[in-house]
Amino acid sequence: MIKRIIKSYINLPLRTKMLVIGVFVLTSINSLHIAISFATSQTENSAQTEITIAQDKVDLARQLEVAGMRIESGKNLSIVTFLVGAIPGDVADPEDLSGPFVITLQNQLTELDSADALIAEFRAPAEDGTELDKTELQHVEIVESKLADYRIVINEIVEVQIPLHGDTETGLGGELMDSLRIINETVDASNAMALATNYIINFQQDIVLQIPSEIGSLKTQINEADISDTEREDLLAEVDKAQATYLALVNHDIELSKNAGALTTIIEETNDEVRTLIDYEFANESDAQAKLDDAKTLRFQLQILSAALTILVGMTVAFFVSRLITNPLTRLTRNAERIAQGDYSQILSDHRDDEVGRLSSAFNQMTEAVRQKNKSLEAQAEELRLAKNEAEESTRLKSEFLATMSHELRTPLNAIEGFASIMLAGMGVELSPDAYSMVERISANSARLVELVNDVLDISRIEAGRIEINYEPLVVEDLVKRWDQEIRVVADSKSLEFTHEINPNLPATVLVDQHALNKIVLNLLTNAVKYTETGSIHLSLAQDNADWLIQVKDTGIGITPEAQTYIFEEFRQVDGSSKRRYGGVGLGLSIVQKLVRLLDGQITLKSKLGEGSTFTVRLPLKSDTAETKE
Amino acid sequence: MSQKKIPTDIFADWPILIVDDEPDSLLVATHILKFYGGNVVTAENGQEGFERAKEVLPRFIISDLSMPVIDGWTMLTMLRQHPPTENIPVIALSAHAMVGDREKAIEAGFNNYIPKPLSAQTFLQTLLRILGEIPHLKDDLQF
Repeated sequence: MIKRIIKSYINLPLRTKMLVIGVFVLTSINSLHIAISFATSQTENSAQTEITIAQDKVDLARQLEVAGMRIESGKNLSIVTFLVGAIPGDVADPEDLSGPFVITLQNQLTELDSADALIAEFRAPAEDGTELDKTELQHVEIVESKLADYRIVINEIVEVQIPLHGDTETGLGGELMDSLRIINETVDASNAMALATNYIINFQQDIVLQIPSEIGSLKTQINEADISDTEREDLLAEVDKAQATYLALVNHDIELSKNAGALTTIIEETNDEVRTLIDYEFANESDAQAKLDDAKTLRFQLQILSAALTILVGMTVAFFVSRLITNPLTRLTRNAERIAQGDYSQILSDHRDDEVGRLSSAFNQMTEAVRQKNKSLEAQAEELRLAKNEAEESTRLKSEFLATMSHELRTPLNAIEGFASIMLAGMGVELSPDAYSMVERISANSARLVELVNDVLDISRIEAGRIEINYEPLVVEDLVKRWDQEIRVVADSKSLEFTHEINPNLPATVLVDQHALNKIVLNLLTNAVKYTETGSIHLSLAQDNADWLIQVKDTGIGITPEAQTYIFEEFRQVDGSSKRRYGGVGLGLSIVQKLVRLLDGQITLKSKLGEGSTFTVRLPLKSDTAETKE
Repeated sequence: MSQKKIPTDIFADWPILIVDDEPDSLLVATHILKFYGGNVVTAENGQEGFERAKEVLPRFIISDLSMPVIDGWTMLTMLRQHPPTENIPVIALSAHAMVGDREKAIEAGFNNYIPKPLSAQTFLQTLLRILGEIPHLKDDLQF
């Protein structure tokens, strides 16, 4: 299944292939991002909720603390009130016990109610439904029970101990005052009554010890009073009773103040507990905050990770996709290189339907075609190589033959010419007139043979490309002087007039190959002398635009228009009959033309039969800076 | 110039060495130089030429290039390496008239090069021109 998907993917056109991979990569990246956002936001939200809850709890605990402090200050107020002796309410109304002390106590009950309400609120499940944890519960329960204790103590003070203390009419206070009032009917107990009232109502502590002696002093008054013994005894018993009641009252009050002290302890403990709770909730809050921070850090890290992952995935996918394309291309390149090195054995086998696949098969066809073509080319090259070798070998043999022939021909000619010239020069040899003329013929014929050999050699050299052209600056006047020296002797011997002129427009120095130029001009001049019986030979040199012209004009036999068409071909003379009259086999003009062409020039001929010929050589004027041409 | 102007004693008592394996060529050159007073010594190859040169210490040598036993090129080297003969002018005379022969010969150390074949006059004139270019011979060639 996966194989099939991959296969059909490979066969997609490149553009679609890229599109598919692009969509794939983008989708993957998007999904990853969404997942990360989702996961981290869950954690962050829950951490945020925890923080809110903790903050709420801190808030409630703080309110609870405030409530506790209010209770404590209420209690302090109660104690102060108690100490200034404001326990009973209205002294005139024996039933009224709602003095400032009681009111402060009752106020504390209200505070307790609101503290209870806060506790209830605290205990209620949080907005996300979480119950209090164990520690919280422990603290809250302690606070709750302390507050309950506190309430009990308050209630006991208000409902039991205050009424028991009573005022001048009720409770122990009323009992004491009753006894004193009975005594006062007989003896004056007003002092004791005033003191007792002050103690009962105002709880005046400094008179606590004064009161028993004041009551005791009543006994003296009774003993001195003029009353019956029964009355006396009754009254004395009444004094004892008052003493006992007072003692009970004082003891009761000690109990009461003990209870008030208990209140202090309870409320302080409560508040401490509440503070512990606050600390705990604070810790909770900072824990939650830390969690949130962690979550945020995690999200940041995940985002970085996701970015890195995205890049990695993108690169990996791009790498594989590009391999999908570049691998066959690399293979193609390698194959192309192999083919370039002449190895056709590696044929690609990429069976794919996309552009790369088509490229591969086109490449295969091309390779096969190139292979076939190359095969036939190699065969042709081999043939050509063989042919070239043969040609080179034959050229070499020809050159060798020429060199040998040249040497072998020149050696006997040298001897013939040497001996003949010695005889003609009369170097120690005397000849009869007949012998002299015969030796002259021998010399002339050998000279013709030498000329022929030289011509054949020259033409062979030119054809074999063995003539080197070296351009060098030459003084025109010197050249003409030399030609004059060479030709004048022959021209004089035939009584021909030889003239020459150099047009002033021609530079004094020309760049030319001396050997070739000499051959050209001397050949033309020699020819002119050879084919002219009477009249003159004229040589002229002039510049014509970028060229320079060398003209040789004679008044010789002239050349027929038909002959003019082949005069520059090898082994041609004007006609068969002239061969006998004029020496040579007709190689001279052919050599001249070949040399003129080697100098990038051209030669033209104007002639009229019987009137003479004019040969014009046109050569390019090379500047001094021109390089030497080989 | 014609041979008539050249005095026949121009090489009077000059020892001259001619080396050539071609007897006819040797004979032609010998005859011409003897006619002009030269005390001509001949050799048929380079080996012989070198021996003769050491014996007679000629004023100049005319030598063919391609010869059996030792050719003209090798003989020249031997002469130049042997102090008594190292300064003797040597002129090449050859029927090898291929391009570059002249340049090759001069490069190898020959004083000059005369191509065959030549008429007696041309040979003499060319030879005199060449010898005239050699400082220590120039003054002795008064004519």
